[in-house]
This record gives sequence, structure tokens and C-alpha cells, in this order.
Amino acid sequence: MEVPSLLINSRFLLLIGMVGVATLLSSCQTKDSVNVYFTPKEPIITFTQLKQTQSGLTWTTPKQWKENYSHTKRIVTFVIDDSTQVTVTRFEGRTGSLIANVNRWRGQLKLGPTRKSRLKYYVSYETFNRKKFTVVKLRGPRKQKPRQGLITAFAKHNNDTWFIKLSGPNRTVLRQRRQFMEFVSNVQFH
Amino acid sequence: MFNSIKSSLKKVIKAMASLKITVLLLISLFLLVIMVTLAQVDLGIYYATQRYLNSFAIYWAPNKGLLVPIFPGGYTIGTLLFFNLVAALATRIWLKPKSYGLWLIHMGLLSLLIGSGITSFKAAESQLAFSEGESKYYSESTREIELVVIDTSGETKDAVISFPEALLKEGSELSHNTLPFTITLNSYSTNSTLENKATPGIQNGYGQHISSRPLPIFTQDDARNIATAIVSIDSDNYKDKLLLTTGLEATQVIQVYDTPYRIELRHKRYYVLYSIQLIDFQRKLYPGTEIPHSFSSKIKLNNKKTGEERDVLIYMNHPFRYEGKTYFQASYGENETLSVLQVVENPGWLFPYISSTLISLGLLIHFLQMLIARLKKDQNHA
Repeated sequence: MEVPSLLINSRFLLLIGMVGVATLLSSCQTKDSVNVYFTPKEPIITFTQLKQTQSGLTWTTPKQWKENYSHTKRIVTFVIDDSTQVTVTRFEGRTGSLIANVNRWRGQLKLGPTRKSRLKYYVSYETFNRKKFTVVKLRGPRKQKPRQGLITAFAKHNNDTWFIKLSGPNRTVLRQRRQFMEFVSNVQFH
Repeated sequence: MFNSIKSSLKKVIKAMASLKITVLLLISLFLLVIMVTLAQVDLGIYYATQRYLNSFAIYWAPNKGLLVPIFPGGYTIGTLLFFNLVAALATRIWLKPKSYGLWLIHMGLLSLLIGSGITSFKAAESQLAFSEGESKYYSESTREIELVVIDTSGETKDAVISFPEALLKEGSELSHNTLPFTITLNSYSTNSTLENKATPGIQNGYGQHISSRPLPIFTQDDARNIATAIVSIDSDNYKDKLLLTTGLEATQVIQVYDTPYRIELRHKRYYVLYSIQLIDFQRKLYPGTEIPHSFSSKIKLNNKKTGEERDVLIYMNHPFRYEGKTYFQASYGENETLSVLQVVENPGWLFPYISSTLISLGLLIHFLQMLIARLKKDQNHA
């Protein structure tokens, strides 16, 4: 039996047409619309925490110190004032002998090299969180204006050596010494 | 009046049903497929599909800011084919026993077009990357970006206001009636590189330490772009400027009217009402070689709503289908302790099956009818 197409087909046309248009309209709506929904709470990861996770070292930044990550070879730099800063660096493998490092830092302060027998005047050892740190304290020449100074604490962890160095005018270095050692005592290696 | 409208409509429908139009559209579709295949070399699958198939027209850009449409895109050809087919069904192919087969074939083609429309607009592909022991309740798009403002003042839940990528354009202003501030996009780059250098004018958040430089979009399928935006936040009692990027997982929180808000630019997330935990990932190699034999992820499904808790093994060619989503084993990383699942949600997944069934059935009926008619004719001749 032949069914007249006119009635059935026009209804069919309308139905199919509506399906097609509805598909188009519903999809256009979702692409540009702002969605609001609720999710379980997620932990907040600050930039500092992220840097700490990436570097393998956790620290607490003292209030007056300002973090700076612009130096690519350093883990972090803390700016205390225009001329005083604390730098944290990590070197893999061998990093030279103690005397070589001390003389390198002496050179930075415009001092001549020293002998191994005189290291006891500059070097001390501290243990924080079961980690042994070598602490080197140096002052620049008296005639230097302003006289410069530095304190470096370094420790080995796994295959890396971590250097934490406070440097700047000796007067500020001495003023920051306690806070610096407190900072060193709080760092934790992952 | 009504009759004249009706007759003009009939004329339009008849014209739309033209076989010449069908042939022209099929040739255009053929050319489009060739173009998109060739374009994949430079653009990769995603961008070639977006530019040629998921668009109304293909544009030529002789100058910056000037776009000249030069060829119909997949949406235009698909829509015209759809209406051409509907018109043909309404005017030419009558619903009579002799043409049941043809009807079914055309219905099959229609469902194929509707299905591809739904897939094109509604299907979403994302990835779920998790480490062993980690549990997740969302997957992330690898391409699409969203800017989210999260009100974290709730005790157990965060309220997320998500602005889709379509709204992220330089100069656009984003606001919502639940937010006490507006966000203006001073700049937006789909791809950029990050540098350890402060962004000028930024006093808050990680923009104090890093800055971004725009890069051309990486179109390769395995490349990941780093989207960045510099936004100004403006309310009666709070003004700020922040750098947002998908390249860092760090969170930035601002306090407006005593309410803490997280502001993030991130890969679009697809949340589900259940969680999936990766228990174990395994990669097996052919003995004595480095050639992988199989990858598998053992996961634990936990649906608190239904009380469902069970282990599932996902491995090559054995995806896990759950609540409209299909989880495929896609990749792995971090010394085989991280698994990446491809998550596909396609509300139109059934249409190709319906279409194939209808077309097969239609062809069978049509050929049987033709065969019977031929046999009858031969018998009469004999």
C-alpha cells in the first residue's frame, strides 16, 4: 500500500530539521558559556612550595627576606637589602676541597689565598636535623669601603652539595647572622 | 496567502532536494578530506580538524586581521548535506513498500550526519594522568584552556566559576554575578615561554618572579602549549594585576571583601562524580627486547553515590566504560609509576552503529526486492 508522502514527509522533515537545529544550538551554547560548579577542596600550592618541591629543599623564608628566582643557576636568592643577599645553590658531584672553596670566597672579598693550617680561624661545623654543615665566616680587608663579609654554610645530600651563602656589607652580615643560621637550621632536604 | 507561502516553501524544498546539490556537496566533501589530510602534515590532527572540519568556512589570511572565506568548512557542508537529504526524503523518496530499502538507507545516512554533528560539537577528549596511589575525580583537556576563579571560603567545597577559552581574548572583560570583581585580560597568549624575570607592573603572586614571552602555537600532536595571561582584577576595594600561566602548578590567592579566591589559568577540567585511583601500572616487554608487549593500569573505582567500589584492569584494546566515559590506556611516565589514560566522552557514539544497521538493512531489503522483481520478470518471460 502506498502512503501519501506529503503529510508524513512534511512532519518528518520538521522533526529531523528540529533535531538538527537543536543539536547546533545546544552545542553553540556550551562553548561560550560560563560554568559554575562545586568541587572538593584542593590543597593550595604556593609558588615557593612549588619551587621547593622542584629543588628538593624545603625552607621557611624569614619575614624581611624577599625571594627572587631570576638567577637561573640558583635555587633561590633572598634579597635582604640593596647590597645584602642570601643565595642557595646546588652542585652535583665533586665541588672541590674546603681550602679551594675558602680561597674562592676570599677572592670574592678581595683577600689573598690562605693556608690549610689557618682554616680553623674561619671554619666551624654545625649539625642541624642530623645534617652536618660546614660554616665558613669571612670578612673583607679593613680598608674596603664598606667592608664586605660573608657566611657560607654547606652540606652534602645524596650526590649533591648545597651552598647557602649570606653576603654583603660586613655590618649587615653580622646583623643578619642569627637569622641566617636559624634559616640554615630549618632547611630540610628531600 | 498561506497557500502561496506553502507553495514557495515547497519550491524551496524541491530545489534543496536537487541531486546536483548532492553531487556538488559530495565533491566538496571529498576535496575537504584531501585538504585536511594534507594540512595534518603542518598543523597536526587537532588543529587541522579544527580549521577544516570543525568550522563553517576555510579562511585565507592575506594580511593580519583580514580573513577571506575561500571554501566551505565541515560544518557548512555537513549542514547542507543534512538538509539536502531531508528535502530529498520529503519530496522524492516516497514511503511505499517498493522503496522501504531506500528509505532505510537514507535514514541511515541521516543518522550518520546527526551523529557526526553531535560528535563534533559534544564529544570531549581529555587525559587522566595519575601516579600509583593517587586518586583523581577529573581529567584534563590537552588543548582547551579555562580561566577559573575559585571561591575557597566554603568549609568542604570550593565554588568554581569557569570562563571557557572562547572568552579569553586580549582586552576582554570577564565577570559573573557571583563575583565581586571583574577580570580584564591585558594580554593572552595560547603559547609562550616562561623566563626567570619579574613581569613589569606586577606586585603580587608569581609574576614577581617570572615573566612570559609569546611563542607561535605548537601544532604537533604531542606538543604542549603554555598559555599565559596578564589580568587586571578590579573591584571597589581591591585592585591587582596577576600573571597567570598553565606552565606552573602554583596557586595564587587574592582576598576580596574577606573572601579568598584562587585565580588560575589551567587546562580545561572534566569533573566526574566518582574517583579513580591508580593501584598499579605495568609495562611488559617481549623477552630479551625493549619492545613493549603490553601496558596495563589497575585502577580502583569509587562511587560514593552508588556505593560502588571495585578494581578494574585497563589495558590495550580493553578500555573501561563508565557513566558515558571511556578510559583507554594512552601513555605512562616517571619510571612506570605514572599512568596516562585517554578519556573519551561522546554522546553520539551510538549513531554510527544505528547508521550502519539501518544502511545494511536498507541495502539488504533493496537488493532482495530487486532480486525478487528480476526473478519474477524472468519467470514471466519463461
